[in-house]
Amino acid sequence: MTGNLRPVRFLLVEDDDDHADLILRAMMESRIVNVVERISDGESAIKYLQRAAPYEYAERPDVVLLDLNLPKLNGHELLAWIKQNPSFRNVPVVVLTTSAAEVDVARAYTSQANSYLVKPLDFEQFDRMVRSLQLYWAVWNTPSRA
Amino acid sequence: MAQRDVEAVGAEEIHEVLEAAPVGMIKVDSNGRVIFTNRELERMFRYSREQLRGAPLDVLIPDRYRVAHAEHLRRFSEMPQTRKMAVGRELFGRRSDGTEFPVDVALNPVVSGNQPFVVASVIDVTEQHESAKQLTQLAADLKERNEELERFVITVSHDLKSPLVTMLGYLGHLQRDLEAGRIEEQQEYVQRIRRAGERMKLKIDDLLSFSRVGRDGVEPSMVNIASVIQNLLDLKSEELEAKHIRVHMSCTTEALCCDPSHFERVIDNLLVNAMRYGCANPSPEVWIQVRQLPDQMVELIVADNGTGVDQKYAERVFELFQRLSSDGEGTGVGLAIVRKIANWYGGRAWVDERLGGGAQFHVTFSINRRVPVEEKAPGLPGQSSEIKPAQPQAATGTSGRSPGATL
Repeated sequence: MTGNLRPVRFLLVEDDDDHADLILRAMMESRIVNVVERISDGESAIKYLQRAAPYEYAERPDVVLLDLNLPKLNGHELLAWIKQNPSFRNVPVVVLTTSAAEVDVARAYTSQANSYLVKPLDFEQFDRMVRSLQLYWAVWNTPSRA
Repeated sequence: MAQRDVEAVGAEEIHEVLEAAPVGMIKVDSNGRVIFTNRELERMFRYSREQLRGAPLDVLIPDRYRVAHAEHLRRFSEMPQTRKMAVGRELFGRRSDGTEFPVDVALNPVVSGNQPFVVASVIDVTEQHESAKQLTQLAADLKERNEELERFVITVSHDLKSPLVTMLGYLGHLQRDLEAGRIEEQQEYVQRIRRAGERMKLKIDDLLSFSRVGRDGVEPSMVNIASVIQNLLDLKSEELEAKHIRVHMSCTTEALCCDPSHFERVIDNLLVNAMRYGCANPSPEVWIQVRQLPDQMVELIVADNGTGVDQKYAERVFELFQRLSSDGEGTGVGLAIVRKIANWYGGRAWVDERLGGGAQFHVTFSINRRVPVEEKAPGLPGQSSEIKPAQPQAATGTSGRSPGATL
C-alpha cells in the first residue's frame, strides 16, 4: 500500500436517477476527491469508453461502477463487452446492484467482474459501502494490481 | 392307472394354464428356433401358431436389434440363469406387420431331454411406456415452470428492491438533516421518497395485472373492436391533443371473442407505448389497424413514426421490467402483459420497423379462443364461448389533431 491518493475517476453506469444521486451524495460526504461520470445505459457506456459521439471528451475511467438492470444493453452484457475488449479489460469493474440472486453473482464473476456489491437497504450501510468503495480504489489506484 | 390319470390331467392343466396366461410365453432352442408359443404371445405379435413354430426367433425382434440379440442369446446359453432381460434398457418386439411395441422379457433356462432351451415370458408394456413418457414430460414441464417461477421471483424482488433502496436512502438523509436542523434539502428528499413509493405502487399494480392474465375473471364475450378503440381514444383525447398526435385508424374486422378487459388492456398498453416513445417526431402520428388473417386470426397493429425499436432489442422489450429508455417513465411491464394476453388467445406479439420509420407493434388473437377446462376461472360458464367469424366491414379514418378517429 502506497498511501499515495490521487483522484479516482469513476464511471458510474446507473439508470436510476435516485440511486445515482444517493451514490454521489455518499461519495461527496467523504473527504476523498473523486471524479465521477454518470451514464445511464449500457450502449451509451460503450460509446463513452470508445470516446464516440457525444463523448469525445471522455477520459478513461479508473473504475467502472456498474448496475445490472440497465435499459438496452444490460449490465451483464456491458461487463462482458468490457472484459472481452483488449483496450478495456484491465479496467476494474465493480457491480453495484439490488440483485443478490446467485445467478447474477455467478454470471458477473464468470464475466470477470472485480467485485460484486449488493446495494444495502440500510442507509448507513449504503453510505459505508460507497465510502469503503472509493477509499479502496483511491488506495489501490493502480488498476493492474486490482 | 389312477396315477397316470392324475399325471395326464396335470399335464393338460399345465397346458391350459400356459395357454390362458395373461403374459406371452415362448420356448426357444439353442439355435434360436421357436419351439412353443402360447395364445397371448401370438396375439401380441399377430402371428398364427403355425407361422411361429420352427421359425427363427429373429422374426419377433426389430431388425436393428437382431445382431445384438443373437450375441445376447449366445452368452445366455453359456451362462444360463433366470433373469429379466435388458434391465435398464428398453426392449421392443416386432409384430408380423413390422410395427414395433415395447416389451418386458424375463428369461429362464430349461433342460429337456439333455437339450438346453430358453423359456421366456413377454409382457406388452405399451401403456406403462406411454405413462412413463407422460410422467417424464410432466416432470420436465414442472421443472421448467419452477425455473420460470424462480426467474420471475428473482426479477420481481430485484426490481421492487430498487424503489426501497431509494426510499430508505433518502429517509436516512432526511433523518440526519432533521437531527442536525438542516432544512434546505428536506423537501427534495420527501419528493424523491414519494416518487419512489408511487413507482413501486405502479409496478405492483402492473405485476398483479400481469400475473392475473388468464387466471381469474376471464369472461369471453363478443367485443366490438372499433368501439373499444374509439372509447380508449376518447379517454386519451386530451393527452393526444396536448402532444399533437394524429391518429389514423383502419378496422376491417368487426368482432373478437375475448374478455373485453384483455383487448382493452392490449390496445391501451400499445397506445401508451406509442404516445410515450413514438413522439420523438416533430409531427407525431399513430396508426391503428385491425385486420382479419387466415386461420381465424385477427391482427392488431399499432405503429408510430418515432425513433423505433432497435431490432437487437425487439424480443427484450416484451420481457418483464425490460425497458429501452432510462427516462424513468413506465414500469417495464406493459408489453410483457401484451404478449402474455396474446399468447393466452393463441396468438403472439412482436415488433418490427414501420415502413418510413418508427415502431410497428403486432398482436394476433385467435377469434375463437376456446377456454380450456384447466384455465377456466371458478364461476365461468361450462361451455366454451364461440362466435361466428364476423363479416368484414371496412372502417377507415384519419383524425386531425383531434383524436376522434372516423370509424
